[in-house]
Amino acid sequence: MKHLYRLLRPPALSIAAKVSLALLLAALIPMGFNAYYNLQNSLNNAEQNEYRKLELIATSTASRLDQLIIDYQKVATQVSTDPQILDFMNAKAADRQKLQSAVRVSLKNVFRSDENYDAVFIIDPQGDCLAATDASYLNRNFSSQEYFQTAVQGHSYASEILMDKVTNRPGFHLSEAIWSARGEVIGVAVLKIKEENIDLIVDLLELEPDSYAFLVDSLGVIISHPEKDYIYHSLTALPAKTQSQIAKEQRYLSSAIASLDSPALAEAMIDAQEPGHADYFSPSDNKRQMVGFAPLEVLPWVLAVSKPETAFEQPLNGLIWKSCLNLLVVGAIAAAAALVLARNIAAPIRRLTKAARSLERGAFEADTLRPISHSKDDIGRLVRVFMQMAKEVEFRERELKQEVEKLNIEVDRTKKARQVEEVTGTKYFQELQQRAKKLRQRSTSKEQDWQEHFQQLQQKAQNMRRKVPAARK
Amino acid sequence: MCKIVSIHSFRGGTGKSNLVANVAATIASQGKNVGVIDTDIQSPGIHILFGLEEEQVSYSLNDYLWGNCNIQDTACDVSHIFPQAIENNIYLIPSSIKAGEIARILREGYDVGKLNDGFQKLISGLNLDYLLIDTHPGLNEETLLSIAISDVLVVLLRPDNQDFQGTGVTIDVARKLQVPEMFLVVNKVLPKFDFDTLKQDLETTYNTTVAGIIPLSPEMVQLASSGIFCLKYPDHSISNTVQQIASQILGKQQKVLAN
Repeated sequence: MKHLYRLLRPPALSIAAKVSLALLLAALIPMGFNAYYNLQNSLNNAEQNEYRKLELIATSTASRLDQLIIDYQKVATQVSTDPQILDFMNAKAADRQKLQSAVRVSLKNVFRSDENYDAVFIIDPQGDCLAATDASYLNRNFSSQEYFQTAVQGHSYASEILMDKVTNRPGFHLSEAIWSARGEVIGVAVLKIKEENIDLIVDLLELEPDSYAFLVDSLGVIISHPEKDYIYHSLTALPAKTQSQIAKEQRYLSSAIASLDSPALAEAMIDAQEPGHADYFSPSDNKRQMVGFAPLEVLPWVLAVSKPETAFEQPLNGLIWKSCLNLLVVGAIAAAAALVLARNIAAPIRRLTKAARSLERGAFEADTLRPISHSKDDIGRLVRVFMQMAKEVEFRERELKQEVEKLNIEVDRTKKARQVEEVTGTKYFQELQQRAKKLRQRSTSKEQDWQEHFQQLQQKAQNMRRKVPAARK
Repeated sequence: MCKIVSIHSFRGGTGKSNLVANVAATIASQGKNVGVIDTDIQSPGIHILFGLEEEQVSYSLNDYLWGNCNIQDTACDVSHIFPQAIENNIYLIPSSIKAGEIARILREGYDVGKLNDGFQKLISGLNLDYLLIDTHPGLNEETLLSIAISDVLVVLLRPDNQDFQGTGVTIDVARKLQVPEMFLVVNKVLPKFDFDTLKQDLETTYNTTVAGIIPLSPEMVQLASSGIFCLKYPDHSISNTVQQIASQILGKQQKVLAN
């Protein structure tokens, strides 16, 4: 009950407990702050490192895609400079019929070189298709297409994903101007790449488990994602004008683009010029995802690498656990050291308290305090003052007692016999008694010898005294 | 031939060390070689009376018992206590007053037999006439050994019931060890008591000679443990009582010489 009361009222705690507590707090509070500060720094650094890792993966994948598109662009350039095609385009309309089969062979050769090509075709400066690997393109007019309009101006062009109205298959188009010997644009060569090819590259990326990559175009529409349901969904709701433009162009397979409602992610990623990072909540499981992204150089696309926060936080949790464990171990050591130190400090005080109680009962023995009275510190001084005080108290008490009582010498014989028996009954005492007996006998005989020797000397002296007067006579 | 004198009390705080120092000084002033050994290892104090500081003690009895030195190395010449140079010497074999060493001896104990060897070597090495042993209170092994090898046992007591009882036990034990001579000395007795009656009562009770009764004196209390009373107040009645006690200790040998 007394201990419980002490626990509930800190001022009533023992000095050892107070000192232990003070030492423990003095060790743990600064250490705790320090550990918390270090942990926060470490967590921030670890988070930044993880983001940086995601950004690096995104950058390297974006570079790969850039390289692929550049390679396709080179193929488009190769088509535009093909001698057969140049001859065909330079020929008059009437003569072109003869060259048609040779051009078709050239186009077919290019088409067969890569299974990712969806079509290769040639357009005249008016936008009419003159030759194509797919017959359905022939005699169609493409003058309204941006890839034609840009190339006919003499510039290379790579389109975003477009829904091809001729074949009704999505893909992206690479176009290149066909130049005459006099430096005039005499046509446009177009290479259409299947959309699945991009998907394949993105899907085949070797990422950590739970991580995946996705590709967003300049409007913020997902054009590649391992979850096919998210393809042609925008990161955030598109303006009505954009929606109607998309519907008009039939740019993606569906006419209406649904939103995934991640405005923060959209803001960070759309038209991003530099690699960066962001986070969002996955629409499927509502789990927080961390994203590192990087823009492509040749197309206004942004490639993102996503990782769930749970996987991301695994090393961070390890760090937190390690810090807590360190704090616990150091705390336990500090507690043990504080306890030992506090006990050492409080031990003389406990002994002094015990001595004070003995003094109160009249059974104080100065010897109990003497071993701790030699110390030069405050406790040692207190003990010496206490001993002096006890001596004076004892003196006064005795004086008082003797004033009122007659000195009566009493020895309890039964008790004495028992006490003597306790001392003399031991084996040590028996042996000592034997040794003492022998010792006494030896010393007695020595003393007797010495006395006899002394007496003989005295006798001789007396004889000499007697002889000297006789000789004088 | 050296006489071994143990001065003992059943309880602590009787003024044993004070009596040892005063008797030793008195005997030494009569031209004897005197050794004083402090076997109260657990609570040493006699060195203070001889004005010895901790720093002045190179080796203590503890060092001898632990085998760190010879017993002669522990002997400190304390003849400086006398105001004028005297012919013979007085030596003190102090116990260590270092708290750590006291704790160690309490914890580990020591070989009591070695103490006896030390006494004998000390007597022959310093050519002592008297070896006074300041014992530890109670009746532990080293105290029993001191009593067993003593030629004279002086039992000091205060006039209270615990001391009366304990002294009875000590006297009986000493008789079983065949100590040749025993005296009682009563200390701290209020001056208003009749000393003669008290002496008579004690001698009847214990069948032992009372060598002296020392009154409780303000001068003694004031001096406390800072010096040797007999040398400071040579003409005081207490100094006379100590003289009587010393004479009785010297007595038997003197008688032999007188023959």
